[in-house]
Amino acid sequence: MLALLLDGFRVVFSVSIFPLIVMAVAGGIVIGSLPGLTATMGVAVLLPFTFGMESTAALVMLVGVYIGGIYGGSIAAILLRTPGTPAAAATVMDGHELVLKGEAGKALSVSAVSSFIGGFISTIMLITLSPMLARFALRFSAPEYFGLAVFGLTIIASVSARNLIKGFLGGLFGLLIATVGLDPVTSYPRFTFGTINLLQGFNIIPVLIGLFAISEAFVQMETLRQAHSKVLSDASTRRLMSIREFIRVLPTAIKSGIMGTFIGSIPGAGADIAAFVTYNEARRSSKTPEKFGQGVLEGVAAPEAGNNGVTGGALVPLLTLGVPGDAVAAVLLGALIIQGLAPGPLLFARSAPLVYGLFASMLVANVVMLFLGIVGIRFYTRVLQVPKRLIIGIIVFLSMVGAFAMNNSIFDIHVAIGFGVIGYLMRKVDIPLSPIVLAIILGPMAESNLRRAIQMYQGSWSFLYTRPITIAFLALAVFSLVTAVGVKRRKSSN
Amino acid sequence: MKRTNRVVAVVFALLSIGVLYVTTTFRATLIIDAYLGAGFFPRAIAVLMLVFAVVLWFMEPRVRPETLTANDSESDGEKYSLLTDMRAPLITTILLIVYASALPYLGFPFATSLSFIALLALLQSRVWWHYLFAIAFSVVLFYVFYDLFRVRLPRGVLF
Repeated sequence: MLALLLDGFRVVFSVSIFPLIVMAVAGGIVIGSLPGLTATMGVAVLLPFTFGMESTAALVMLVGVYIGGIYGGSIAAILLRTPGTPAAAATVMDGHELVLKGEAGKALSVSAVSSFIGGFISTIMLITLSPMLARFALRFSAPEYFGLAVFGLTIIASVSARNLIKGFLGGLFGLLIATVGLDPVTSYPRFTFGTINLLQGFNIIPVLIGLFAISEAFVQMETLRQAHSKVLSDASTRRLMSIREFIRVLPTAIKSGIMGTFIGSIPGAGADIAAFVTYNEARRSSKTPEKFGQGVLEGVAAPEAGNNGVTGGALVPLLTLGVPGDAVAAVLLGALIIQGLAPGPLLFARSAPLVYGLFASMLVANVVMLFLGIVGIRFYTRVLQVPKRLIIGIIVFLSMVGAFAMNNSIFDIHVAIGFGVIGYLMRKVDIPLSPIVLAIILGPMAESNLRRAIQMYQGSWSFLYTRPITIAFLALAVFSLVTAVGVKRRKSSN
Repeated sequence: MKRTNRVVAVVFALLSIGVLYVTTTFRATLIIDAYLGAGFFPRAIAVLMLVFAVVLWFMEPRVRPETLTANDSESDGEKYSLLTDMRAPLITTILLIVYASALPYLGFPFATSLSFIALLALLQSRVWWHYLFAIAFSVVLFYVFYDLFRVRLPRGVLF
């Protein structure tokens, strides 16, 4: 294995491949940082350009964009409170708070380092533990997915620190939004009110853009009139995290990277879910959970390591079983097939040099991402020096393009505007937005798998207490809920 | 805050009642789905929403200003009280709806330049280069997305 990996590195550092990795990662970071352009979209856009390329070069480019894209989403999330990709939605919570404290450089450096740690661990696990991870992922059926979704939904309690009831109401609102469109089991149209635009339900991208970006622009408009509106940019904003802070966040980043890899290896559970789950776990296991959401470095490290952990995890079922774990893996599957390769157990035997070249390129791409991430902080933080009126306009019109871009749909722009108003009003009445996004992401998974599980068990709910993984997830959900309520009570009594 | 909570409770209660009503109009489908059906999940959500809305109605706000935290800086009641000036967001919303409706006809560069300029005027920007930036930004954004990312932004019927 080591010899094959070394051969892979030899290929990756060749004159024709290395510049491609650098360009692909840089391109991915740009794409990820633009609201509405996801890593999936970046890989899909690039796919046609790889048709005529040699196999290794093609895969290296696509994987570079994927890794850069997942990291890039955090830049806009931290600086503008506008997640570039759904995977960065959890990073907003503490990332932007750090910016408001004048610690943008720290937030961005923690994001870059944690993304690197998550991506690197994930690739190492992909190389060494693929067969075992694939077996773990194969044990997931409808009841286990339902358990995972319920566990994910309990995160609502921990991200609703101030008012649990309002957090739950926000979560239920998100779940309701997720039910719009064709019923996943019977295909019956629900809450579509006769419009074909709603048959597929609300696309997560315009909803996310509306809730976070447009509502943020509205709030910024109000602060324009406040004489004491904060100055976000001075020399200290570019200060990176210290060695001591690095040592502090390292355990969180490593744990989140491992968790992200496991979550990524489960088909259907993507980087967005991993980010929220790892954030919740970091908060739960922290000695000071009440500080999460106020701008703690661990609150950035956990989701960033978690979502980049998915990059390797998602390739586990693809390379070992031929099953794409998420949308990007599905595009990569297409790329492999176009190159005349058949993903699955035989890929390692028949095309070992290519597979190990891919592994080596992922390790190198993560290093390149770290380098570009750290070097770029000086430039990224310049965004904070742009006059507020221009920033508002930039956020608003980037949001419009981002909402349109996914489906080339004017309707999606209206959706983004609508959710912008909803997000703004929710903030006015003290309802946190993260539970809404979380519920929209996890709602379809919870509903369709609950109903499939009941069908599997012929109308019985016994799967809730007969399947070990489901029991484990439900126990974790109860534990997570009790911990969050306990933390809240402790905080109220202090 | 108590009054705000009650308004929120009423809005969510009305929403849940509306959802419960709409789900009663769902017809049975040919696909056998145990005993749940398309209305099961929305109905369960609506019932829970109603319960939480009632709890919120009776809940006394206990949060003291010094315990304000967190996540909830995103919903910091102190900063953004319900009655602060909502004119700019309201006018911007109308501007954006008009913008989205005009986009297919005017095309992205023109519609975006116009709307960005209108937004800057609304925000009382008195710096001339902000307006120039708005035009340049719209044009550059169009070409970056159209040519580089292959996003078919509307070109409009006029140009």
